[in-house]
Amino acid sequence: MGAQGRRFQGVLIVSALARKTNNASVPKNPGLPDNFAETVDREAGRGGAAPILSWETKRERRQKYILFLEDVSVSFDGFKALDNLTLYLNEGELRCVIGPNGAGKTTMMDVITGHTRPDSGEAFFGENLNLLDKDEVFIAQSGICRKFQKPSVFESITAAQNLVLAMKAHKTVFGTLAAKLSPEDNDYLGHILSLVRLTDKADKLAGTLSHGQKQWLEIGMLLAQKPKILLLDEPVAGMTAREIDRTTELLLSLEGEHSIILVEHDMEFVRSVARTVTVLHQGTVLAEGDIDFVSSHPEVIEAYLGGA
Amino acid sequence: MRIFDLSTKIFCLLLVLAVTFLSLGVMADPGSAFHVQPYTALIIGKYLCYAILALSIDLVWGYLGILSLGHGAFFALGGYAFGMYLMRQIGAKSVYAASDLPDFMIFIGWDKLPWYWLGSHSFLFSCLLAVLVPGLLGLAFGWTAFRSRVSGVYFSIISQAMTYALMLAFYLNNLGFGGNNGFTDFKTILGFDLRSNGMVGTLLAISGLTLLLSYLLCRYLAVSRLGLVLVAIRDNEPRVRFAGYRVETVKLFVFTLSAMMAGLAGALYVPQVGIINPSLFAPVFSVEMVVCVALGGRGTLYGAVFGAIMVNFCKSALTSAYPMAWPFVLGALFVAVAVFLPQGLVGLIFPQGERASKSALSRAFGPLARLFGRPGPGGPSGPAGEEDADETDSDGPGPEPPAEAGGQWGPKAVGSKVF
Repeated sequence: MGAQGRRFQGVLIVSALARKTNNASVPKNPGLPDNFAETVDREAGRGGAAPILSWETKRERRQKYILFLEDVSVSFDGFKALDNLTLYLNEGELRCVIGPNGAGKTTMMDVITGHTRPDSGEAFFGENLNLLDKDEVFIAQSGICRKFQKPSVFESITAAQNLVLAMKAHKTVFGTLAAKLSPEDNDYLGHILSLVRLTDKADKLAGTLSHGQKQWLEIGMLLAQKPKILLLDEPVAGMTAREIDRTTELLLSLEGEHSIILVEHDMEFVRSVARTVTVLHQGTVLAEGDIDFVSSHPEVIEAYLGGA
Repeated sequence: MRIFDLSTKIFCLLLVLAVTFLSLGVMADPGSAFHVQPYTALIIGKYLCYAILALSIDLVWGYLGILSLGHGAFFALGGYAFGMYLMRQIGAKSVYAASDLPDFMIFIGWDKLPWYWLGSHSFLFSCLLAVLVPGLLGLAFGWTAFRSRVSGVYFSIISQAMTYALMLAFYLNNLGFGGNNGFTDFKTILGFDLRSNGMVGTLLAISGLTLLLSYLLCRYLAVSRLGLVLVAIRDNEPRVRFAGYRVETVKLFVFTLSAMMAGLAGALYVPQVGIINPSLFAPVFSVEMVVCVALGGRGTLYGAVFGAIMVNFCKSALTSAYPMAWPFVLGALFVAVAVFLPQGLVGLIFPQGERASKSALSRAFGPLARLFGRPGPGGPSGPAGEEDADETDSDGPGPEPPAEAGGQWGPKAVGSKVF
């Protein structure tokens, strides 16, 4: 519980219970006014952060959040990459995760996508999908899509073909063999291409695109998968200022439609997109709240600058 | 349909014309101007079988990025399966003529056929066996290897070990496949004389037809969305998993299909060559076929066919003239192609992709530069080096090392990585 104790210092405990009305089965606490949480949120100047309400059961929390990680620990040869990490994601939320190198950001994504099995803890997607007993492929098919730190598009096929490949479909061997692009699919892919500003590059080999365009193409590939949760690992790394602006625009337009977890180092960028920022340090959540809150948080400053 | 692009049309036309001309030529009156020597037709038929084998290698290597150095095993198994039928056809015409047993079984003192020779008297059953046995081996081998995510050079090595182990097994007399003599001295097929001109022509035509159909099948796979998935697996296998495809299943499907195709080629090879023995299981045969594909050009299908026919033609010509020179010529050709023509010889004629626009000079020196670790002038460096570290960053080592990038065997990396 040490980790949680630390979380509690930095974070306002009560949060968006009442804001999310998508699940009627969550019991309201009779002692609080309906808009209590909203009021608190507004006054504190931050949205949906770190919400553990003591009267909630685990099941209710799973119902409430689209992504639910509790007390997840991963260690590699004694090195604790994740140490009792707890994180919840609301539906439609855009969450930034920041943290110094080695904080466990990528490992967290590995756990969510089924690439790494944690030593302990729980991870749920929605109410019932236990991420810990599913593999990468199943998780990807059920709607958690991941963009890698390094743009990993398929270089020897065209940009449009990359999207076709990623597109949500019946992805079995024979399903893929027989797959045809319907006119709707075509329109949809065209829409994505224009969204990521690659319409005129559709027939270029992905390997010939610029770095920024590859990043966009990969975001486009995720969108083609019609994901519920997008995990973006440093989407603006190596982009020019102008490309970053466009990416900001793109991500903000996706907010609400998709739930997004964004791992990023570029604080300017984080400031421009994030509502809620989670700071990871040594595999655990150090602080959670809005950008001003976390950037003035003494422990965060210590972690980034103090060589802890 | 996209299956029939220009190169496919040219290929089909050439193949159909050549095979029709040759097989009719064999059957023609020996006095006529169009007559073709049966010997020539048999040699060409053999080349066509090699071409089918090369095609099956290209499917898994050129598209999927799996370098199998054991495809000869599937070829040989197909050959043995059909060879069993040919042995049973000899029957009373054998030297010992004592019974229905093949001579070699009499040598080792067996008095009845072992159970696995049951059904070998049936032509159809043997044809089926020639496809199914290699298919099953491919399935079992692929399942074991892909499920434990063995890939890259490790896969190549164990595939070579697989064919070597089979070779040792088939050398055993007691296995019931004729030991190191294998099967030979075939007489008839379906009761027709195997050496008659009509049969030679028919076998050639069937080989040509099989090659044509295999080619079109591969082409169908390549232009389907599955073809995209194959190339994607070759370029960056872990990423394909995150796109929601079961990479292992896809690999297993294609590998098994390829093994079946190789088995079919073997079955056609045996009646035309007239002998099959365990030397076909030798790794050197499989490696030679891989060299054919690399020389012709990977990932194009027609390159593999061209490479197989050309290399084996040169081999026939050279080994009869200068028997000692052939290994050196093969080696030199191979090094030259690996360094200067990563797309193989057909890359000279139909350059692929972005390299199409590059000058011949940069084409020639790009790979050379890559050999020394710098990106060459001929486009971006192969996918291999770039993709390796995809999913690990400083956050800590993952439980598995980054998968051996399938892209290691991508077409652009020939010069620098494979050899």
